Amino acid sequence: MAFYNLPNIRIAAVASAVPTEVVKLESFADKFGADYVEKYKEQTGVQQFRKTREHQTASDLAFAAAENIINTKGIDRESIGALVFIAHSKDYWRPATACVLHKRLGLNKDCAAFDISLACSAVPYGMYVVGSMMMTSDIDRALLLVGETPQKITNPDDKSSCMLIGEGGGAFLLEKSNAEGAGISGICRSFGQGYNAIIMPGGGFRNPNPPTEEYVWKDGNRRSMYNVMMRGEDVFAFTISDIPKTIKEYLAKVEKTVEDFDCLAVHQANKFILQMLCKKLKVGQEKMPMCLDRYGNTSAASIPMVLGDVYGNRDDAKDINVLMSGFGVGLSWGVCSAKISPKDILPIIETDEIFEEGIINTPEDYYNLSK
Amino acid sequence: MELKDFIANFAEQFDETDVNEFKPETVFHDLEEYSSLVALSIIAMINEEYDVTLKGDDMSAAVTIEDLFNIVKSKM
Repeated sequence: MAFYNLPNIRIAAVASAVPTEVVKLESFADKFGADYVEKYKEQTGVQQFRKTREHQTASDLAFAAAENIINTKGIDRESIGALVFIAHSKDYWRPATACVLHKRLGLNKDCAAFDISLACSAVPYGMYVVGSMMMTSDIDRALLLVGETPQKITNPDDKSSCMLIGEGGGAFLLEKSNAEGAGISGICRSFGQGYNAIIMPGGGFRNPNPPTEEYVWKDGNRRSMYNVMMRGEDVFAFTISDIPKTIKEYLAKVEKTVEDFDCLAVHQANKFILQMLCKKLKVGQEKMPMCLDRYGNTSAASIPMVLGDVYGNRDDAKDINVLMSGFGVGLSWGVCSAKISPKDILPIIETDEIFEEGIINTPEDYYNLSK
Repeated sequence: MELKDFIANFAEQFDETDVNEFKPETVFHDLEEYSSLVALSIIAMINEEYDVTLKGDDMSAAVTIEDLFNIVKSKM
């Protein structure tokens, strides 16, 4: 079992950010028919989502979330010893987006910065990697940043997913702590046979330049090789069987029950999946909050966002016990838990800030970059 | 498990289709109301009622409701 236990690490802050543009599902009625859109809303729970501007990236959203933590909490930038950015929506083929964020956040050279290529499962994996690094080093403080902008690679005529996917970014500040209640534990899992269940087939090194032509796929949707293809039925079946199973195994391992948790912050896949998970875990839906109605499925960002949505404006003195689970593309999934003070959970903020200097169209742009 | 009950459970995943349309030999992919969203409901129902996890391929391989019943039965 890929079970991890980080007894001296705590989540010291959580933040999230979304772009300002709101897309309402009604706006798709002309294209897909009002009846289909209504049914889609009912079953997935999505009423609207946020969409980035051209050139606005996942790292812009994660940057805004990280800045919010640093400024609100008065964190000394020099004290951050690691920055890990987990996303598929990266800024460049090279360098690592974490290095761009390292510059923008004005962090010290004495800081490990790198990317991890995962999406929906980013939070349980990130806690594992960043927390383990801290436990085996003298790093006392680290940033785990996540974000996704999948609308950019979803075909606008793909009626199976173009109304589901939202965009967002998130940040966690992890700290070493010996205080009572500190500690993060979790489980990470993978099923590589499902690598093609959610895939963008073109543009990577395996097939760098396939034609940009759009095909009508078996499910009736139009996509090119540069769009995301999702075998929804397979992903759904995987989710409703493997996720509750992994959560139950985790609970058995840490000798807890769902009753011990104040909140199940679960990846906002869609309403139907969340309802199935509640049923299988035998918890009331009030314990598994939803923000996908307003933000859609925001992949890696959905855990910090749902926390920000519920606890962002609360300052209850008592820590909450949070179970988090992320699952999806890979197939990759995990579960983890930690005690968090609601005071350390910041509300979701909006941003349209773009790292303009990073848009390089000509050699001139390049040579004008700040050194 | 009984085919009759399976068909009743299957039919419950539809809102508008007349219940008499659901027979063992019904080609369910051709039902007007059948969609990818209904397919998910069927997968969820089978997972809950029969503790069987279907794949998308199982859904497309089955032509009739009875075919799907047999696939589920073979996985139990």
